[in-house]
Amino acid sequence: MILFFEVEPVTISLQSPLRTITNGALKELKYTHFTYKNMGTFTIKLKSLLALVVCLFLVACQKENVDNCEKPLIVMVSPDNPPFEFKDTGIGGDGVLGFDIDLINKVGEQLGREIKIVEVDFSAIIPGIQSKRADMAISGFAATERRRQSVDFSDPYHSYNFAVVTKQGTTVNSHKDLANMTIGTQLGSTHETKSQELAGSLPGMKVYSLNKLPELILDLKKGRADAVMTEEVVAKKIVTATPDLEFTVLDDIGRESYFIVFPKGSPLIGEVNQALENLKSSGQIDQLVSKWLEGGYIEDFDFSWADVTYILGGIPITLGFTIASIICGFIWGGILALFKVGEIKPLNWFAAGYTSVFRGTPLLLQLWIVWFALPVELTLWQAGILTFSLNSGAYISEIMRGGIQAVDTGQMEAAKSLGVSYIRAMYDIILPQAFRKMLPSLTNESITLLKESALISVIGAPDILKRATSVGVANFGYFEPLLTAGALYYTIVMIVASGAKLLERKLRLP
Amino acid sequence: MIKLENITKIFGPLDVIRGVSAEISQGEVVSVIGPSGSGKSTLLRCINLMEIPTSGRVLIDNECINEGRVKITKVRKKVGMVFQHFNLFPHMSTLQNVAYAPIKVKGIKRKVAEEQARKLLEKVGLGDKADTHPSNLSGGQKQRAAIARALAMEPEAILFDEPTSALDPEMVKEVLGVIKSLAHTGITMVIVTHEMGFAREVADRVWFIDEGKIQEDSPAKEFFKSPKSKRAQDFLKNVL
Repeated sequence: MILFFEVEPVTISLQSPLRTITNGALKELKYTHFTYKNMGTFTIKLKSLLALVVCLFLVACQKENVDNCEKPLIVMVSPDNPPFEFKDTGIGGDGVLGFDIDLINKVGEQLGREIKIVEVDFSAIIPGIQSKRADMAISGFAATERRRQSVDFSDPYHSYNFAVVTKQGTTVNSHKDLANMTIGTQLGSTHETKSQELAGSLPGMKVYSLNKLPELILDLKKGRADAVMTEEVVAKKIVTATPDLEFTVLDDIGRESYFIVFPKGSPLIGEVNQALENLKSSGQIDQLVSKWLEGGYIEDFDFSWADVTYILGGIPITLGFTIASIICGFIWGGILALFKVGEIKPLNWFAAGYTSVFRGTPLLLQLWIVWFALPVELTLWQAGILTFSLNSGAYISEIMRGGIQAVDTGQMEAAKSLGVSYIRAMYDIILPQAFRKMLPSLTNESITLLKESALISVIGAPDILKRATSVGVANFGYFEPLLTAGALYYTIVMIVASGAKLLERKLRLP
Repeated sequence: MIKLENITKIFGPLDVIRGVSAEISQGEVVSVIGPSGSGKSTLLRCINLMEIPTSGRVLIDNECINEGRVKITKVRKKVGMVFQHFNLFPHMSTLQNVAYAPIKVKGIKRKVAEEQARKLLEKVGLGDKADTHPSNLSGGQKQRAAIARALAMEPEAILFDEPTSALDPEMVKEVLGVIKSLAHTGITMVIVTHEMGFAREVADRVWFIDEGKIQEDSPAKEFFKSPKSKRAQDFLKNVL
């Protein structure tokens, strides 16, 4: 049991007044009386427990003071849009490749700044830029009026024709043929906006949206969609990867352009526009077009051994993330459980309210709030582990409370009658017995956490599931990578479950 | 050694103890008897502050232990307790049960404490059960182990809270035998019990408790021969 390991009073150095506040709070809470169900009053040192909580919340606050110009420019991308931004595990390993990536690196060269690519889900980019998690984003964004309300854009760096991908044999000559068809588009894309605009005037045309292109391609093959709206170069790639499809360029509905996204009022916009202008006039953008968009770059669409090893590379991330969250969640859950079994009313209320809120709202929502809405700057790992610990702490506290209360009250009485202190009795007598009772539920919670850890991919961590989807996107085929990921998760869960069973057997009382 | 001054204990709407004053001197054996629900166990538990008295003073060796900052650990080291349901620690062997508190509370070296624990187990007739877990002991053996556990802290007094009530009849004797062997060895004992024959034989004094008060406090022989109060007379008539 690791509930009560000693922690020195907060030693993290903080420049902020937070330090004085926490130290003050620690002093006040140093001795607080705990009573345990009509068994007398006992004193518990809350100092170390509180320090742990504070640590958990504040690990994130060590922000480095680096001179602004030496810091690399953080650029968000959603690598699921080949050939603009994608992963080709056969060639690029874990790195993101594509037209946009080359372009932004060239912009970085022009500005004399290093570029740091951060991967996030497409839907997380605009909120991420709004909350200034990055300096810019590049991911085939069009500058819609709606987006202009929350972010700023550069000048366009690329323009394209719309195109529809259909099964071979479906005749589409112009946009008018889309009448009476069900059109799939990518959520939040300009293709979606454009399709909805067309649906306004074409009878029987229906539009729906999914997160990623490969999902739409699957729908198309299954007949759930009649056509998928995208753009010319992408359509070309899809058809190369999936031979029984064809595409038609719709050059009668106008062109659309790509823009770089900035937080409102970013001082970088002028410089970046100047850099784009230079790249255009020096012909470097044309070079990129012929490299990426006109067939110069040959992709490998098959599910290969390289893809498998790439997905396997997600294991340490998934595991590390889960284990860290379980440990922190365990500590936090233990503290909450003590709040619950103790008799200090405000702590009872706090723990009950806390549990109710964290059990009553979706984990994904909690992750978004921590990542986008908290005023402190967290790294991906900190945000993820923090959210998951806070969430699983709520569940684990309930498991522990149940376990502790299931231990016969006579045990605590006997320990007390021997002069054993409350904490000592908890540690030596109650918790070892409670732990045996809790073990099956704790195993369950760990397994749940392991599987839910896949949510972290939404904010960009390259865990097992994220890698599998990346491979799926790059190959335009989800089936094999997702099956691989499924097998991996299942194997890990089986190992955890049998480990727990072994432990249970070992701990069983004679 | 133990002194109670006007102790009361109220649980919500219930006045369980209604003003008890009494004194026990070192080495004395006191039996606490009375009808069920009369407050015997609660009074016993007030002595080592398992229950904090609502009012009144508890003095151990002339030191008040329930005023101001409660000196719980102090009283617990001087006064041991044996429970109706044994309350042995199921995850420890019998030996570990006995040696645990001396090691963790008194800071005695493990080797020394275990040696001493072994001697105590011999003394209560469980020398061969040292490495057995409590779940493999009979009720009588469990209670004897629990007595050894209390003795291991070398207390000045031991409180027995109905030590034989949860036992099968054939095991009562072995436990009473152990308790009897401790009497008049210098250790103070307060025993809540329904075993009248045992009380008569072992106790120096009897407290007869009813309705939260000590109704009668007399030498054991005298009490059993000719109880003074009407209530005690009725009670004895019913149980004997």
